[in-house]
Amino acid sequence: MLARLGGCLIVAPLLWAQLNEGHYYLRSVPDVPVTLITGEQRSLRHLFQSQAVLLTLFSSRCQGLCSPYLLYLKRELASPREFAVVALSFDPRDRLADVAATAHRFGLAEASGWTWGLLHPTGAASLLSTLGYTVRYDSSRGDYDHSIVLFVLDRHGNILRRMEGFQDPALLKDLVREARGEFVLSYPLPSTDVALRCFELDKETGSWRLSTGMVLLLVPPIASFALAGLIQLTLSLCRTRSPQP
Amino acid sequence: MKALDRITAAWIITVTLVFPIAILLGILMRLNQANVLELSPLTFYSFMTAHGLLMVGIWFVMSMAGVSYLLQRYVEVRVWPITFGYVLTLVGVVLLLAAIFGGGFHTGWYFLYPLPFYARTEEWATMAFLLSLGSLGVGWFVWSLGLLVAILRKYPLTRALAWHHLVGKSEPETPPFILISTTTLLGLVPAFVAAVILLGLFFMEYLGGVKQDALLMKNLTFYFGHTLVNEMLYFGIAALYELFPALAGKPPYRTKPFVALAWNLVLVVVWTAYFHHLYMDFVQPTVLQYVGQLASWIAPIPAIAVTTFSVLGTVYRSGMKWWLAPTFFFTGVMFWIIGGLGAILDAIVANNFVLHNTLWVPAHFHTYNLLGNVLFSLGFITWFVREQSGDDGSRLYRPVATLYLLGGAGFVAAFYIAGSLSVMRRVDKYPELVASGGVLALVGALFAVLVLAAVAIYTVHVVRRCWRVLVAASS
Amino acid sequence: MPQSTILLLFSLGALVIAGVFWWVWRSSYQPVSVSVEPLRRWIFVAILLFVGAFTALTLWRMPYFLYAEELPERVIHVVSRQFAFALSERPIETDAEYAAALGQTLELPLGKVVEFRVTSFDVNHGFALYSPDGRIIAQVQAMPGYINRLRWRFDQPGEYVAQCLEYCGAAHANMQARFVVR
Repeated sequence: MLARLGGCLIVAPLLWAQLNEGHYYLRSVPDVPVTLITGEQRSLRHLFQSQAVLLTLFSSRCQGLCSPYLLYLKRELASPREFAVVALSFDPRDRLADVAATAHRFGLAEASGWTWGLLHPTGAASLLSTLGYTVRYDSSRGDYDHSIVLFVLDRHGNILRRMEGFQDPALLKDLVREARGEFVLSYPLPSTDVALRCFELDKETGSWRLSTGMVLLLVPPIASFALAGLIQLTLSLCRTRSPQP
Repeated sequence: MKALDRITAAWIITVTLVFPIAILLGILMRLNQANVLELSPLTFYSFMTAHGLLMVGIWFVMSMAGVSYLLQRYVEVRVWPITFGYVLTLVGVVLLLAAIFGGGFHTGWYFLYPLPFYARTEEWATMAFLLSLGSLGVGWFVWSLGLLVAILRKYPLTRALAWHHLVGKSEPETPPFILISTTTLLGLVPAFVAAVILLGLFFMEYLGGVKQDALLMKNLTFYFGHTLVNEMLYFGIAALYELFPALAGKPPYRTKPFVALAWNLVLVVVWTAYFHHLYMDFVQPTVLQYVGQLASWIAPIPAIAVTTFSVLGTVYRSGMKWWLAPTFFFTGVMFWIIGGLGAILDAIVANNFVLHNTLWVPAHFHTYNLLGNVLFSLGFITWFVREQSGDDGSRLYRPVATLYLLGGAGFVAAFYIAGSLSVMRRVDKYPELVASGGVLALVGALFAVLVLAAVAIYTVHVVRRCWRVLVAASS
Repeated sequence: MPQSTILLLFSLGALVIAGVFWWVWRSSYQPVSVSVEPLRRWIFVAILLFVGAFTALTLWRMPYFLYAEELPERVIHVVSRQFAFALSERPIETDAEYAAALGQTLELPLGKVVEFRVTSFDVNHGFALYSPDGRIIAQVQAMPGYINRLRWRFDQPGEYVAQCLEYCGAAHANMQARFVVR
């Protein structure tokens, strides 16, 4: 029985967000041209050189996961501080107006900290290959199959972290702290079936929060004082009740 | 009181008989590390588990037995909680030895979660081990509760904790022995509660398959383990406060405001000192690491300062007659501070970064246990034997004191040097990486043989006389 | 503080303590009526000053945020399991990835910050870095369910050993991994 219990004990589903992250760590992205929805022509470097960037790619025509993913990012990263969110369309069919329409549809066209833009077909290829971002046109659907990934770029355009798909917001917050230049000393692996966690990542702030387990650590000293008080009380009650000889 | 004499004699006989056996286990471990012996890894780690638990167990109960005996000078002590503690201790030790030597339980005293679920141990052995801890815990908890009630019957809580001394009043006086015993007994309660929670969570997983948070379990493990061992030392100090001035022919120690402050600090701060066992767990919130270092420094220093000053002041130009009991107390205090120095150096996080889980750790805890706490208890035992039989063991004085102190000092020195050379603790054989470990293990073992010789002589002396107390009282 | 300095400090302190006790013990053979009470206050003040100064000096030197301001040149994922470490530049999430990483001997850059992301697949382990001359230079615990990050800059070329420093079962003593710094 023990061995069986042991077996299922810690082989935690290590659904870690940084799938294949190590492969891309510190890889620097090419400085490709970008057209912003304001009409400005910029290079990618311009976007990350003043602050760290969370970069995601999308297609305005996508019938699949792009919309829910942008919604997820909107919900979790509504007002970025000390970093920027950059959303770029990789779809050669997209025109600037399509990108602007998407930004407006999510109410993020004028949101501070958010930048929307269009990649040029020439630059897109080299950027996508550096990022390891797969894009494949499916002619039967008339749509692209593509990755859903968020990248953290530092001010030199190096890839610091890479997060695939819809992850626990706590992990996203962890990513954000990293983008801001904070060193996150330690982080818990996501696990579902631990009875009492001592400390947990707060999903709102991304910082450590005491959890149910920690309350247990407060029980012993409280019990000590309570017990002493209880004995004291019982003794004094006994003393007043027993008749003096 | 005859019944109290008898149960104290029973404790002394049990403890002094187990002591040399536990030392022998330790020597066998060192000889194995020195490649003089070839034990299988499982045998080695079983010895390690037994050595640690037996040593902590016997010296915890002995220090508490000493306090229980001396407490009758102030309050009415009931014997049944002590007897209850004795019976459950025996049950616990039998279960423990069965689990370790019958079932191959070998996860170390601290059975760090989730190791018991991964170790190659008989299934029933883990259960027997947990039950053994339960039995010891219940026995000791009832016993300490009995003592606490005995004290509070006469001294209300605030007086027992000498709070009126804190604000400068000197009447009515709380004797230091009562103050230290109360803070120690109260300080123990959280250790027991933490152990209950820990065992509960273990059983949850063992029986119900519910997974636990490794960080929470490690916190609970050291909450109970560290606090228990820490408080054990203070019981020894209580006996010293009670007996030492009289041995020097001086009036009893008084409770001064600083003394009251020091021991009240101990009461609270000792509960957070255990954080230093988790310094290298970066996942522990950093603020707790700061608390850990501060508490590790604040908890022991006032107590050490107060005690040392009192003891040195008592001996200085006193014309004291030296025999085994005062020598044990006096040298015990000396090694307590030396071990404390080793400990607080390791309690600095920056140092722990290179010392954690090296032999520096057993180096300092053997210094204040083997050469500190154990000596306080041996001081009490020697004094008790003289009270009961009139024999102060003067024939043994030179050989026992010399062999024990010389052997002990050499034994811990080998640990300190090895620790500074990055030799790791809790390994059956040293990897090539730390080749010096083997040589130092041999040196340590040889010195430990001297200690064993001293203890063997001493045990014969003590057991024969305490046996007479036991028999005379029952006939 | 390097280990040798700690040993030196300790030895000096122990000698001073033993010396004081020896001197007081000798004095007990020349009895005279004295009171040491007036000394008490000064000794406590001295102790408080010593403790305060030492705490102030050492508290800020925490190893937790070493090189926190710098960008590590390499990130190494470390997974511990009874009784071996797997070190890899790619995350190790499955048994197969763990097995694949076991055989590798990594080469790490000299004089550059390297980050180790350390965890465990089973019990608690310790991850201690031994320099080529056999001294511990840094360590962190490997706890199941958590990833601990240790940053270090290797200033000496050669073969380093990562040794398990938390008792993890029968073959604990042999739990090692090696890597080269050049």
